[in-house]
Amino acid sequence: MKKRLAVSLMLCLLLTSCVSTEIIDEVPVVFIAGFDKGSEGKIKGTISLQRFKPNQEVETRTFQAEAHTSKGLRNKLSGVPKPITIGKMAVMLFGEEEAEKGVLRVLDSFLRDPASGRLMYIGVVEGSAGDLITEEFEYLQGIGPFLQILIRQSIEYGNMPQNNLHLFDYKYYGKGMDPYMPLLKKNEDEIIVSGLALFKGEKMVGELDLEEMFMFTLINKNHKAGLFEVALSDGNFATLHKVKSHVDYTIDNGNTSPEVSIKVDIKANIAQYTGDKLDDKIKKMIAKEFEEKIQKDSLKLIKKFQDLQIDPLALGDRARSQTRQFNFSNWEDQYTGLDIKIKPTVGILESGIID
Amino acid sequence: MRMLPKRDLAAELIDVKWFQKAPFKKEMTLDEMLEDLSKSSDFVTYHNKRSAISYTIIYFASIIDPAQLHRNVLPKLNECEMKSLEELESKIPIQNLEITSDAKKIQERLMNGYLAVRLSNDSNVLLMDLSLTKSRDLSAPEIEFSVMGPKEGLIEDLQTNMNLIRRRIPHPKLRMKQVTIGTVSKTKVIVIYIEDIASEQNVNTVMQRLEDIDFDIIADSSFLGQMLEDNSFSVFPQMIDTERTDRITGHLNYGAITILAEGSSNALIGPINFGQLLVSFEDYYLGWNIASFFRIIRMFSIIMSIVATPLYVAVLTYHFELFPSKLLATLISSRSDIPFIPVIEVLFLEITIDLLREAGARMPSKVGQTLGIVGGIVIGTAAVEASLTSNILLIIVALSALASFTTPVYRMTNTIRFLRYPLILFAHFLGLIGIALFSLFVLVHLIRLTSFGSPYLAPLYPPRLMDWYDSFFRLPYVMQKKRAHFFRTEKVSRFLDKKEKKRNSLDFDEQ
Repeated sequence: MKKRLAVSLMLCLLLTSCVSTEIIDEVPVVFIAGFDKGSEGKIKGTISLQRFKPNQEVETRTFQAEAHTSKGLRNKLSGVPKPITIGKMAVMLFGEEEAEKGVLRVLDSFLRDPASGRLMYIGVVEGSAGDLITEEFEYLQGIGPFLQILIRQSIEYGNMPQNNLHLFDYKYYGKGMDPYMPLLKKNEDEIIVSGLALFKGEKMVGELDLEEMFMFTLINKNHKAGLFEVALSDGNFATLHKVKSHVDYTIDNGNTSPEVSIKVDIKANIAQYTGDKLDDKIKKMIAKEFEEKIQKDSLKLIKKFQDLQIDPLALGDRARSQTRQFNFSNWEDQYTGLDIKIKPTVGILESGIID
Repeated sequence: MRMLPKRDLAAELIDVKWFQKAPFKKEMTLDEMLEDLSKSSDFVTYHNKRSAISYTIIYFASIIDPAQLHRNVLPKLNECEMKSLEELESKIPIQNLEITSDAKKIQERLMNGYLAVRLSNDSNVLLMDLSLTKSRDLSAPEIEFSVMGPKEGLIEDLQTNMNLIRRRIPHPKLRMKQVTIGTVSKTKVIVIYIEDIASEQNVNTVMQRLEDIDFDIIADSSFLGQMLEDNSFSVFPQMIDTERTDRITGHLNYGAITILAEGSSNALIGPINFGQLLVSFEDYYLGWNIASFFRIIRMFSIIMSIVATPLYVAVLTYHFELFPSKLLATLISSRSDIPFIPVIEVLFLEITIDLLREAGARMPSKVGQTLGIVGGIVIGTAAVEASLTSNILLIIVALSALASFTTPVYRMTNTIRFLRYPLILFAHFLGLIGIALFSLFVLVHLIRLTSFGSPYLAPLYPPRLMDWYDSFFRLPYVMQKKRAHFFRTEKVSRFLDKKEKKRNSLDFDEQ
């Protein structure tokens, strides 16, 4: 018994040649990669490497190559020491053209690779992703970590819906829903979030601006969003912050003639008001006008989705979860003409410490 | 040689004499024995011809008490008119006196510090106990130091040790059984247990194993520890070595068995389980909540101490993804000048730390301190500056070395130190899978391990939920009503709770 155990343990050590070592300071660490449409149907890939100097300074270097597959790019990147590792990749960007052509030819290999992190952020760049990465911004930590922080903070404290590689994957393969990605843009010498890119399957078909994105975030899921400025009918403005939404989707008659009603319960604090005095009457007015705005804008948003024949709100999936023996083809036929009701209620929690 | 009487062959075949052992050497006579012993220069035979009946006193000068000899023995010998040994026996004010003619017994007694008086050339001698034992005074335990609690440690003298223990447990059922082990050292070994509480099976196991030991010298109780162990291939201690009397008493009361050996300042306690290796007896002096917290910290530190550097090797060699992005810069910067692969770097530092420990243990304590400082600060910093190791590794190694010292049982500290090395190699060759593989191997070993036949991983496996109150954490004394199942004691209850007390009280004892 002991002998057999010892032998089998030693045999384990013989397996070692099958595992390739990736010693941390010898492999190039890719933090960000961008993919654009290249010539002759190829993919143009751009990667940015972090190089750590002994004095703890970080230097980024970018490399570009073209190939037919995203893994094939690795061979073409002959200036980068091998093996190129994607384990620490934080952000993946697509050029607008590439996104409209379809992102799956790139994403597929990342989804298969166990080394790629599922929490990686993905986004679409207005224009070329490669240009954005090669551009020398003055971000201390390099563009990769910066974008990671930008997107993460936008999700946690801003108005961006939760999204990452895993969720994109889920929404892409799931029935009755469509994926989306944040839309980024180069604005002079900085990178900004400009909205949300909407996908139909793997292809980008439309986009939302920042205000639409906020509305989408509110009615999509329970979310703690950031700030929102409401233009009031009396010409004043009020800024709501810590806008917290609680959504409740009810879908009746899923298989025959579906009726969708979305209850949005919103709690918000008033951060600023341009008028004179913020009394209960005005608070009620602000709440009411915000309700009306949600009602109007979100219906417009849903109309936009229906026109594009996409379903980023995952209505189909929600209908499936509330209907026995759900018939997807019936739903898809009726989706564009669905009558959807929004019932927003806004509650003002507080308006500062001087009340 | 004794001549065998002549026999015919057939008769000899029937007798089957050759199966018998060779005839014993002819027993020595008293005179031969004395002549043999006199080859030692500390052996004294003094023949007094001037008294009425001439007598000889015989003793080993090195092991008798000369003060007693001069005060109690010599005056009596000279003043009384001795006619017989019996008369002398009644005059001498010493406890252990006996008259015998058995040469072997006389030899044995002489070796143990007895003095023999022989009248003229009589074959009978009077033996009296004049043995002198010199040992150091009681002192505070040095290995198992504690801030709170009694500062009383065992010493090398068996009598004193027995005294210390019996004084703490003045219980009529406290048994101390003596076994003599060692063909050369003739070490007295005492097995201590409380008869009603300790399981008879355990006592029998210990006694039987002790009696079966056939070895020449028992220099310390740790010799016995290794001989009594269930699995001597294991690196895990299957008995606790302790010098603390409070720990011994505590374990005796739970139903454990303690073994003392002459000339050893450590007692052995068994059977034990893995949880008890995390127990410092100081835990019982602190509050239960605080003690529990520190036990959990100790548990954590054992795991950390074993796994920290192997994890470093595995992560740096195979799974750099696991390393936090924000630390990457620090780590890669500090490693960028290092010419070695992680495993060499780690082994270099680990061996340095163990060298320091070994050197520190061999050095006199004052030099040892300096050594620690020199080693820790100078070598560590210099190694980082010379780009031999990264400073993050230096922190990890120092932390895991520190964590290994939190274990209250010294032998366990060594086990932890030892286990790290194979794990580092496994981590180097197979990464995290290697760590998992080796951990499984250790776990399987621990599950199979027993201490005096009791399962080593006891309250965990086999699961004994009732025993958990005092293992990885400690509940208050009120909840420690029962002795652990682990010891298979018959007297389970430690005290009566309120209800039982009421039931037992007399009817008119009302309040």
